[in-house]
Amino acid sequence: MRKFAELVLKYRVTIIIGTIIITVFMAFQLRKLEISSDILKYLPQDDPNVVLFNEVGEKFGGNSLAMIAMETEDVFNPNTLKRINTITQKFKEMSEISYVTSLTDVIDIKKMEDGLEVGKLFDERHIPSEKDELEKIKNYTLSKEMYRGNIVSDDGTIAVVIARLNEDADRLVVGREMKEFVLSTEGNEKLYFAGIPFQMIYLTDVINSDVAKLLPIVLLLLIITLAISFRSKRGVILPLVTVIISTTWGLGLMSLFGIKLTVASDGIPILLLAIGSAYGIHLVNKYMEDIRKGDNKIEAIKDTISEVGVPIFLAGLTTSIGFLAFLVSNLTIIKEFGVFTAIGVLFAFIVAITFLPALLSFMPAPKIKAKKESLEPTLMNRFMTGLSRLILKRRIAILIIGFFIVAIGIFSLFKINREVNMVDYFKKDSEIRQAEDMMESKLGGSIPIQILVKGDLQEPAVLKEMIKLEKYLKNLPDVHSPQSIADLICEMNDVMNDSYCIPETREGVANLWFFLEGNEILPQLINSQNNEGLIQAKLGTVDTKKGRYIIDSIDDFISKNINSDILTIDLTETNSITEEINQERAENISNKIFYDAAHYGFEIKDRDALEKILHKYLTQDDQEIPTSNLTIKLVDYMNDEDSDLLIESSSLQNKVVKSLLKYVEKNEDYSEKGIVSNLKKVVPYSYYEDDPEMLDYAAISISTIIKNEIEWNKVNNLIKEITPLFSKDIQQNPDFKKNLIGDVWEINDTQIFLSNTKFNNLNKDEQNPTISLDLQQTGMPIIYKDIDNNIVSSQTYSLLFAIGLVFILLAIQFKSFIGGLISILPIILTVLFNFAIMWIFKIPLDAATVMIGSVAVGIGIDYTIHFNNRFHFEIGKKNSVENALETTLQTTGKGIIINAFSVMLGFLTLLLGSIVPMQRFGWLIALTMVVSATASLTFLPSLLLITHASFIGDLKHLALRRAINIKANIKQKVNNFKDKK
Amino acid sequence: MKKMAITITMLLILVCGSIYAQTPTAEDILKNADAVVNAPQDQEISLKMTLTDKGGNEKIREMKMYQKGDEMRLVRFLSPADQKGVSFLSLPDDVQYLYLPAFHKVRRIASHIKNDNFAGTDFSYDDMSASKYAEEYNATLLEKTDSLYILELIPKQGVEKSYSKLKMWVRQDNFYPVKLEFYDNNSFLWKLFESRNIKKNGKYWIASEAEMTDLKKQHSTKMIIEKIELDKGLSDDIFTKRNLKRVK
Repeated sequence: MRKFAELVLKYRVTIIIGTIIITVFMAFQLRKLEISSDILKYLPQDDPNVVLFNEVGEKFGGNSLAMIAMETEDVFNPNTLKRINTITQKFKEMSEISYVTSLTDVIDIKKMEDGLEVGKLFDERHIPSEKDELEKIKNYTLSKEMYRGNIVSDDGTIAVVIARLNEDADRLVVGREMKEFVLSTEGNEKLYFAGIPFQMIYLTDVINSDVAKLLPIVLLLLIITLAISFRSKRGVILPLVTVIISTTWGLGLMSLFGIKLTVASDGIPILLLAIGSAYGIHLVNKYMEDIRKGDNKIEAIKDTISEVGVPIFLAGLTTSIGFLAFLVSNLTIIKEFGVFTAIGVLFAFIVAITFLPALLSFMPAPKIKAKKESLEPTLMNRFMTGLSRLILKRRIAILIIGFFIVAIGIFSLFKINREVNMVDYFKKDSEIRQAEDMMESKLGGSIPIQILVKGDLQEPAVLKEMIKLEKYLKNLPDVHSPQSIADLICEMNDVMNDSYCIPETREGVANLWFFLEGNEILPQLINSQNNEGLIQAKLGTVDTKKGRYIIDSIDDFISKNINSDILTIDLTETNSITEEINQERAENISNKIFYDAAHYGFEIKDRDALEKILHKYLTQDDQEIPTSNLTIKLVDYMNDEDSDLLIESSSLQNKVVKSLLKYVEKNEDYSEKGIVSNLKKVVPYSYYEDDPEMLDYAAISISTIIKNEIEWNKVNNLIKEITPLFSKDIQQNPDFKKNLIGDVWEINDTQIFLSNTKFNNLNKDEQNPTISLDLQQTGMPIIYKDIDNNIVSSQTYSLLFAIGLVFILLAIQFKSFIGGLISILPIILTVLFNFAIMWIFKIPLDAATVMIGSVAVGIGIDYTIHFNNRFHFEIGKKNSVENALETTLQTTGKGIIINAFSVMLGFLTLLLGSIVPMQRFGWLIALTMVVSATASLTFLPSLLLITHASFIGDLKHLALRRAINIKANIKQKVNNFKDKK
Repeated sequence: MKKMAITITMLLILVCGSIYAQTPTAEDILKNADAVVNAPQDQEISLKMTLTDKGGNEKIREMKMYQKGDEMRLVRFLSPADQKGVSFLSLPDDVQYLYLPAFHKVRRIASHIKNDNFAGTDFSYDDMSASKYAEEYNATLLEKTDSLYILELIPKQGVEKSYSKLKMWVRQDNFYPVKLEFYDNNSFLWKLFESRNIKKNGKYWIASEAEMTDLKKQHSTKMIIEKIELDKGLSDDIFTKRNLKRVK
C-alpha cells in the first residue's frame, strides 16, 4: 500500500488533470441522462409475459390507454358534449393515437320499431343542443351497459375520452401533447387525467423535481456534518469534492450506457453522496491525525494511504457487493440500480484514494491547533462507558432480545404486503392519484385486463366460450365492462332476433358480422384474419393482492372451464344423446345464469331445482304449439303487403291458419315442402298463377314464423318456471332479464358444443372435426403480478447472495468460519428488524423497499468489520476484556455512531421527496442504519463474549487476564508513585 | 354608334363563344361528369370486390347489383359462402333494408351517419349514393392538361360533407371522371378514388374497374365489373322488400 501511495504522489499531476478531464466529460454526459417511468421496462424484455403483452399491443392498436375524464353536473349538455367532441376529433387526428372512444364517438347498436341501426351515439357533426333530445339520449345512454360505468358514470356526471396509443408512440411526448390540448379547450368541467401515459408523465416530473429538490439538501447536510467534524475548510471541501466527482462519474456512466433514471435509480445520487463521503472523511481524518502526530505533509499522506487504504477498500468492496447482489434480480430497474450504485461506490473509493491525496499534496500542511480536548469525559465518552458496563452485565439479556427480534423478523417475512402498482407510487393527495381513484370508483378503473383468444372467431363454439368467460369475469369483484367481438355479436343478435346470445350457426354469426364489417371498433377486438381476438375488461383496484387473486381466478377458470378442443354435435343427426350430455348442457346453462345472477345482485335460492328445470326442458320430447300466438303471427304475415302471400279475405286467412296449425301439430318435423303442399290445398290457384315460386317463398317465411314461435314459447315457459327461484323479481332488472333470456335460449340449439376430451366416446373414429381454442391472459395486471413475483425473488436471492458473499469475505478476513458467522449475525438481525418494522407499519414491499435488505448488508457490514478489527486489536494488546471493550466503544464505537447518524440524515432527506416508495426507502434505510449500528455495538459484543469466539483473541481466560491486568495496574501505580517521588 | 355597339356585342359573343367552345366552365364540366356516370337507365352488374388491409390481407366478395335510376338499388352478396344471400335494398329518401338469410328476416336499417363506411368497404354510405357532385359542390377549374380537366370541388354552403375539398380529374373527350381525391377537414388527403378501363358499352361509357383507397386506414377496396347489362328495363318489383328476401 505504501508503494501505491508513492505512485499516487509521483503521478499526482496526471491524476489531478485526468480526474478533471473525466469529470468534465461525465458532466457533459449528465445532460443526456433521461428519466424512464415505463413500468414495462422493469421487466426483462424477453420475459414471456412482456412478449405476449407487447404482441397484443402491436396487434390490437396499442396497450396504453390514456383517459381524460370530465366532471360536471350533467355531462349531457351541449357545451360538455362539444368539448368532448373537440377533444375526440383532435385525438383522432393524432397519428400516435390508434383509437379514440368517447360519448361522441362510439359504436351504437340500436333496436328500432321495425329495424335497427348500427351507427354512433352522436353524430359528430350534429351535437344536439335541445334539452329534450339531450335528455332522450342521456336516458338511452345510461340504460345501456356498454356505456354506463364505462364511458360515462352511472349518474351521468362524468364522461371519459379513452385514447389508445400506438405501440411505438412515445407515451410521454404524446401524453403531454394530449394534456396540453385538453387544457387549451374551453369549459368549466373538472378534468382528470388517468391511465399509464399520464402516470408516466407525472412520475417523470416528480423524479425530476425530486432530484433537483433533494440533492442540494443532501449536499448541505453533508457540508454541515463535515464542518462540525473537521472544523476546517479542507475537511469540508476535500470529501465534498471527492463525492461530487464520483457521483458525477457514476451518473455520467449511466447516461453513457443509455441507462435511464427510474423510480429505483433516482435515489442513486443521494445514496452515493451519503455512502461515498465516508471514504474521503476517513482519509482526511487519518491525515489530520498523522499531521498532529508530527508527520510532515508527504509522510502523512503516505502513512494515511498505507494505513487506512485497506480498510477503506474493504468497506468499499463489501458495500459494492451488497449492491452487486441485485444482479441476480430479474427486474431490470433493480439490476441497473445495483450495478450503477456499486460502480459509483467504487468510483468514490478510487477518487478518494487517488485524487484526494494528490490534491492534498499540493496544499500546505494544516497548522496544528493546540489540543483543546480536556480530560473531562464528554457525554459520548460517558455513554460509551455505560454501554460497555451494560454489555458486560447484561450480555445474555441483550442476546435474548436480539434473538427475539430475529424470531419476529422471520415471522414477519410471511406477512409483508407487496405493492407493485404505479399508482401506489404517488401520494394520496396528488393529482394523478385522485384521477385514478375517481376512475376506480366511478368508471371501473384504468387498468386493462386482456385475454388473447386464438381460434376461429366466426365459429359459434368459440364465441360461446368467450361469452362464458365474460360472464365469469363480470361476476368477479373489481372486474368491469368486459368487451369482445362476442358481445357485439350478442348485441346484434338481440337487435335482430331479441335474444342476447351467440347464434348457433356459422351463417348466423357471419350474417350479424356483416353489420360490423369495417367498424372502427373491430381492429381493437379482432385481427384481420378473424383468427385472433381480444377480451378486454377493466380492473377496478390497484391493490396488488386483489389483482393477483383476480388473475389467478381467471387463469384457473380458463384451464378448468374453457374447452380448448371443441366437439360439435348436431342433435338432429345423432341418436346417441346421452344423459351425460343433457347433464352437461343443463350445468353449462345454469353456470351462466349463476354468474349473471351474481353480477346483477340476484341470488338463486335453489340451484338444484334450476338445473332440474333446465334438464326437463332439454329432454322434453313433445313440443308445445303456441296456437294463439302463432295464429296472430300468421295472420299478420298474410296482412303484410310485403309478404309473399298477401291474403285479404279473413275467412281464407282462417282456413290457411287452421290447416297450417293442424299440419304442425301432427308433424313435429314440419318441412317447407309440407307447408307448400298444405298451402296448395287451401290457397286458390289464382293467387300464385302469375308467380309460380310464390308458395315456395311463402313456405320459407311461414316455417321461420312457426319455428320462432315454438322456440319463444319454450323459452318463455322456462323463464316463468324459474322466476320464483330468484331472490328478487327479474322484471326489476331489464339487463339481467336480457342476459337470462340469452342464457336459456340455448335450450333450442340443435348444434351443441362439447369438450372433445370429456366426450371422446362420441367421437371415437374422429369423424367429427374439432375446433381448437386457446385463451391466454395478458394485460397490465399480469405484468404487475410478474413484477410482484420478481420483487419477491429479487428480495430473496439478492439478500441471500449478499449475505453469502459478505460471509465468505468476512470468513476469509478473520480466517475463521465462526468469525464470519458471528460477524454476519448482527447484519441478519438488522435485516430482519427491517422486515418486522415493515410488517408492523404495513409498509409494502415495492420496487424501492425491496432493496433495503441488500443495502443494509452492504453498508451495515462496515460497522461489524470496524468493531471486530478494533476489538481484536485491543484484545491482542493483552488488555482485559472490559478495557478492550470500553476502548473499542470509545474509539470505533464513537465513529460508528457518528457515521450511522450522518448516513441516516442523508437518507431521511428522501422523506421530502414525492415518490412514496422512495420516502419509505428513505426512512427505513435511516432506521436500518441506527439498528445496524446498535446491533454491532451491543448484540455483536454480547455474542463475542458469550461464545468466547477465538478469532477475536483469547477471551476465555478472563481470570488470568484480570490478574495480569491488576498486576499491570499495580505496576503502573507503583511506577507513578516512583515517578512522583 | 349603334352599329358599333352591335359590333362590340357581336364580337363579345363571338369571343366568349369561342372560349366556351374551347373550355367549358368548371360547373359544366362537373354537370357533364355527373351525367356521363349516371347515364344508363338501369344496370345489372356482377361485381367482384377485393378488400385489402394494411397488412396486405385480401378479402374477396362477389355480389350482384341491380340499379335503376340513381336511387333504387339492390345488392346481393354471393360470396363469401357464409354471407351468401345477404341483401341490401336502398330506396329513395334514405330508406334502406337488409335481409339476413340465416334468420330469414328483413330489417330496415337506418344510418343517420353518412360518413360510416358501407359493409367493410372504403366507401361511406355517402360515397355510395349516386354521383351528384354538381348539386353539392362548387367547382373551380384548376388546370387543363392535354387530355384532362382538373377541378377543385368545395361543398356548397349548407351542405354537410365529411370532406373539406375534392379534386377531380375529368377526361376532356367524354367527361368521364377518372380520379377523385378526398380531403379531410384539415385539408389532408384522406381518400383516393380511381376509375380504370373506361370503355364504351353501347351508348354509355363504363369504367369496369374502380378502386377506393383510404390513406388513413391504409385500406383499399377494388371493384371489378365481371358482367354488366344496361338498360334492360328492370321492373320496379325488383326493388321491393318482398323481392329482397327471395334468395335461393
